[in-house]
Amino acid sequence: MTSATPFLLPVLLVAGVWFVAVLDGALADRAAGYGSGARRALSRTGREAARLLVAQRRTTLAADGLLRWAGVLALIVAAVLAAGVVPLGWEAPADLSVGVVWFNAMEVVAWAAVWLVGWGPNSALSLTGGYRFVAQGLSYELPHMFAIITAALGAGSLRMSDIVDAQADVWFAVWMPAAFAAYLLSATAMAFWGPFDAPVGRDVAGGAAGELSGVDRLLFEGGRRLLLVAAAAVAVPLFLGGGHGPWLPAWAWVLVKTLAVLALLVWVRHRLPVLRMDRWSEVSWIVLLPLTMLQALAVALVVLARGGGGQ
Amino acid sequence: MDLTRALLRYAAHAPHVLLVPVPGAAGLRMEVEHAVASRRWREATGPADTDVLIVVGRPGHEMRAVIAEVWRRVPAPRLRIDLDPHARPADVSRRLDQVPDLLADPQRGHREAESAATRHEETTAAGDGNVEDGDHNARSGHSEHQAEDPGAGHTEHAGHHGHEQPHGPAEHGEHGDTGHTELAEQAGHTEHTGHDHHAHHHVAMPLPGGLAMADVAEDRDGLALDVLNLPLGPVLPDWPAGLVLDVVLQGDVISSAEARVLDAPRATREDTAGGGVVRDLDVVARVLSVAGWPGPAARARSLRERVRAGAPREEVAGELTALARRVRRSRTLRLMLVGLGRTQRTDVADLLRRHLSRIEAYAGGQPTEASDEPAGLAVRDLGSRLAGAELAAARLLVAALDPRVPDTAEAGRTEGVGR
Repeated sequence: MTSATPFLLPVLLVAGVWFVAVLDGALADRAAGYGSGARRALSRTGREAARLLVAQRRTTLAADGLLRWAGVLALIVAAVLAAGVVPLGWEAPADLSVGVVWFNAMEVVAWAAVWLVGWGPNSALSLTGGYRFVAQGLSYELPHMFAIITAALGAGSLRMSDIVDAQADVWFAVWMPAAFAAYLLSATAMAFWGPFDAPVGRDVAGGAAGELSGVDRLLFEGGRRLLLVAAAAVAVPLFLGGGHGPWLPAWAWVLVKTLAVLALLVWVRHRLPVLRMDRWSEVSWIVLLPLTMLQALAVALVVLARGGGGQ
Repeated sequence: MDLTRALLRYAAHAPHVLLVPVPGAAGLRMEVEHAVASRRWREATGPADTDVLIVVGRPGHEMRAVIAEVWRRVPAPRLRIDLDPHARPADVSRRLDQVPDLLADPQRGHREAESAATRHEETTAAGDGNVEDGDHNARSGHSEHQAEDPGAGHTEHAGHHGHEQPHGPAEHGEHGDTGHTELAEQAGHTEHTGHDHHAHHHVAMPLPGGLAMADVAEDRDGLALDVLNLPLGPVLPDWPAGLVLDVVLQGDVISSAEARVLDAPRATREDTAGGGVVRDLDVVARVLSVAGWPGPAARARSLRERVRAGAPREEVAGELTALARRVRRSRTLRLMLVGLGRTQRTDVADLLRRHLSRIEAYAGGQPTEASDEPAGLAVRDLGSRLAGAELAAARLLVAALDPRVPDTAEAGRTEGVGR
């Protein structure tokens, strides 16, 4: 497995994207009251991809094609690179000593990516979508950073595999629940998914993605789901014990846990209306941010009490 | 190519549909929404996401021009369907059943791709100098779109579009398989769209694409901020038929707005939309959809169709109550809507609650009084209600206020109603 992981990663990510798309389509039909057969749900994703493959690419007047391409590609590249630090089993394709920081740096690329895609078409509603995402970033990023730093603090390391090792007995999700919850919320917001999809909302006619057609749209939508998969996958080593678990081998536990997190995120999307930042940022800054800071403080005290602070 | 053929055929069963409702055809619009949803097809967010454009009702002069503009922005393979206002559910169903075969036809797709690339140049050549609103600065949202033809930007100035021209008129009769060729031919005459802006007006200012720079004006805090004049609508998801909001935007705050309805005088009065609970469900569905809660919105629409189809009250009462309860109980929705529009003398949450109460009253068998029906706002009063609102808030306000486009019996007395 070890030598194959770098090649396995893209395959697994695409499989994750497919899983998200299928589940999402099925839940959408179910929520609408039109039950969805399993076969229909399975084929729908392929059909949606096929329709974008055969569709013409159109663009707008005085559009900046370079920005649009840069944005779409950055989204995909950032998602793949972010997922690179996730241990598939015990070994990550790239087990960096600063894995947590690397992941955080890659996902921030999404800010630029969505902004560029929104800016590119020279369209007011697209641009609105773009800056909605930046506003969203200002709301989710700080709680997000405190959440992942709390996990690193608990393990005393920024390396993903060290964080996994520290959870051999107890998952971090168990004794840092606030950080875990904040992470899940911010992971959703980062992929502008679920209740945080105002940047590509229907009310602004698709927002940042509104003027994309054909392959452009396919790549953008794919990149967005890649980002979601990457964020869900990183939750596993950070909070859910990575490959630790009975009976199954480590890699199987990572897959099962990742799919479970993904299923949760997709399910939540259909439970909640969109969270607009003009209302949500208040909650984010007044409730979530202090909560994650307190969580970090509590974890720091526990680590000190265990004598893990001054190694 | 066989691969393309196979992909076309495979993709044709999951089309995205863009509905363009024409004022005065609310009943037909509901019928089509239902027909699309029950096939599990998705509604498109905009022209770029569209495979099938459905014009619901017979558009007048102004709507025709807008629809031609929108059609130009739809990527091939594409299909246009024009539905007569008197189309029966069976007609709608028959037309939609033909969609996959038509979309999967590779020859059609090829012709559409060519005509999509050509249409742009015709329009620019013919529409020269016919821009109604010359003061629209910094065009963007709905400005000119063109196919990825590197030469396109130049041909529009020089006017030597001859090499592509022959494809144009010959194609028009084909698309949509509708026989309404006269609609398609309108593409060349975009007098009143308010969406077109031509490079010719700004020859002296060589800016990208011939677009003007934005002006600067004081915003609500007294700071100098760019001003963007933007027409919102009439083709937006979950938007009242034919409504155009000419907004002045600073950032995403609307500093002033003016509402108008395209083809208002032509709108027919006869409307099968029905009143009472059907309309309540329609408004609730629209507000929920704009609020980004597609599940309950779709549920409200499907219940609306069952009521419209004459389902007895007892049969739908349980589901109506369940829907109303679910929407009422959502804390998230309350957090997002409560007090929204207060500075605009409105409250979206309150308007939604009133519609929900009426739905519950209907489900419970209590008489709903016509007098406490939240009266839709007259279109002419809409603009003043939106000043100071952010774009997202404005969308919710428009959905909740349900401006009365003159397509109902109230058409004659919209003046001065404004409550």
